[in-house]
This record gives sequence, structure tokens and C-alpha cells, in this order.
Amino acid sequence: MVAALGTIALLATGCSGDEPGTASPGELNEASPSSSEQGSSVKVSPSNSPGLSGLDPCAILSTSELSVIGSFEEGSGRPTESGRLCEWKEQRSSDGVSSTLTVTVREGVNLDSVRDIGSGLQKGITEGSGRALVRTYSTEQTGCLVVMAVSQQERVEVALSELSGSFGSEQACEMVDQIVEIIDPKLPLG
Amino acid sequence: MPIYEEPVKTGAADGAVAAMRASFNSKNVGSMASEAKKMLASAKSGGFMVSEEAAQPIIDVLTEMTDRVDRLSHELSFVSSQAPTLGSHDYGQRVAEHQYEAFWGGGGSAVQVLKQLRNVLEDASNALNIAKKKYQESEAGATNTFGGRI
Repeated sequence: MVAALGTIALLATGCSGDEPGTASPGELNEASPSSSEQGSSVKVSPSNSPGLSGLDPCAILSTSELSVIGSFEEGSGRPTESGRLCEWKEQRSSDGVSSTLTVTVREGVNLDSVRDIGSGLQKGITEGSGRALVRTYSTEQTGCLVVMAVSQQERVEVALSELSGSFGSEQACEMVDQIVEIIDPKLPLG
Repeated sequence: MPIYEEPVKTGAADGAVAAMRASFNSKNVGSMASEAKKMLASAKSGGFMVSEEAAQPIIDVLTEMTDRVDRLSHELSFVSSQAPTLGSHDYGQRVAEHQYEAFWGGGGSAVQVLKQLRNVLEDASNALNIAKKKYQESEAGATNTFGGRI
């Protein structure tokens, strides 16, 4: 397990290495001859951004790690707007209750553009690494979202919801917070 | 556990977009809900019974649909809601706010309709489970009676 985590960390940091300038000069034909000097200030497009690109959000969490908040089925991944997500569904209880959890790796955005989903935006830091967080939860239904800073061009969103409302958003936030601390050491610090 | 500051209100959640809400019809889901409740009440009072062979495939489909409704609601509320806007210009921001209100804006929003739909599916599923049990009970009762006489 430790070896696996180490591998993930290595891969993640390998991807996050800052190599400004090499990504885009070829596409900027109209750039001035001194473009190599300006290269460091050229904003790479989201699709070319380094950071976590290539990391599978489903590989960030195992169902055994998820067992701290419930009994979840294997995650399934898919692309979403500006990123990739992995979704885990809790096994239904006899009364039909089942939470949904997603981890989304979102590119081209950072913590500045997190949208309030009812509770307001709450800044925070992780206990493990001091990583910057923004938390917001729904006041209309059971659900909580914590957005984790990765870099200026990348963030990771962890969300949990339970549509039947068998527990409240505060409890959903406590569950997400536990997951956030588990994920924290596996992500690069921007 | 992480440590947080006090929440800061951005106002985005408070804006009202009545037109978007009106386009979502919670009335239809509402009448579906009352029909499902009637079905549940009827099953409880033994109004109808159904064999396991007949009920189970329908229960399975209802469970699958509940699952999909959960996923869709989660996606709309907690994933798409955070997708980058069309742009930082005024129009892009307004589109994003309209979209947000349609998903979230209280009664009649997509999220509320999905929640009601989930209740309908759960009620229907519960009704079939009860009707299935009643059928099994009455079948067992008939067997006992029949067995006792022969």
C-alpha cells in the first residue's frame, strides 16, 4: 500500500513539474523572436496544462479507503467539462438510502472561481499539508463540496450528496472532510 | 480534519430567475407523487397483491432508475455547477447564473423535481415490495388451509 501511494505521488509530482515555455512557442507563430524569453510568462492552454494531467481520479481513492464513510461500489470514471471525474455509489441500504461521491480533476481553474451552492464560501486548509481549500454546501438538499488547490491552473473537487435527505449537509461535509484528508498527501502542492 | 474560516456569502445563490424556474414543471411530478402514494396505501391495506416473479423485474428497474436520478442530481448540483463559465464577461456570467438558478432555485428547480421523482420511485418500489409480501403470505395461508383439509 505504501509503495502504491509512493508511486502515485511520484507520478503526480512528475507530471506537475513546471516547465514553462516548452509547451506553446511552436503554436505562437506570430510571437516575437524573443519569445523564448517571454516563454515563462506565456499561459499554457488548459488542455496543455501540466499539473495533474493524465492522473485518473479513480486511482486517487480505493473503496477500502472510502469505507471510513460507508460501503461504496467500485468507482467509474468519465470526462466532464474541463476535466475528468470519478464517481462512487454507496451500496443501497434497505430503506433505499445511497450517497453519491465524486472526485473531479478540473483544469484551467483554481480556487478563485468556486461557486457558492447555498452556504456561502468557506476558506480552509487541510490538517495534513496546509493545502488551501474552499468549502460550500447546499441548503436545498443534502450535499457538500470541498475544492482543493493544486495549482493556478488546476484543482480537485470532492463532492458528496444524498438525494433522499436521510442526513443533513453538515454531516455530508464531515464525510467529505475525511476524504479530503485522505486525498491530500496524494496530490502535488502547487 | 481540515480547518475552515467563517463562510463568505457571494450572493450567487440568492438571485431569483423566475422564468427559468417556470420552465420546470413540478406539477406533473407532484401528481405522479400522489399516485405513487395511493399505490403505496393500497398495497399496505392489501388492495393488490403480486407474485415475486411479476414484481421483481419492475422493482429492479425502479431501483436502477432511482440510482440514475441520484447520479443526475449529483452531477447537476455538485459537478456541473462548478464548471468554468463561458467567460468572465457579463453575458457569460449571466448565462452561468441562469443555469445555476434553474438547477437550484428552490421550489420547481431541477433539483427539487428530481428529489420528488426519487420519492415517486421509492414509493412505487416499496408498494411492490409490500404487495409481493402480501402475496406470499396469502399463498402460504392458502397452502396451510388446503394442506390442513387434505
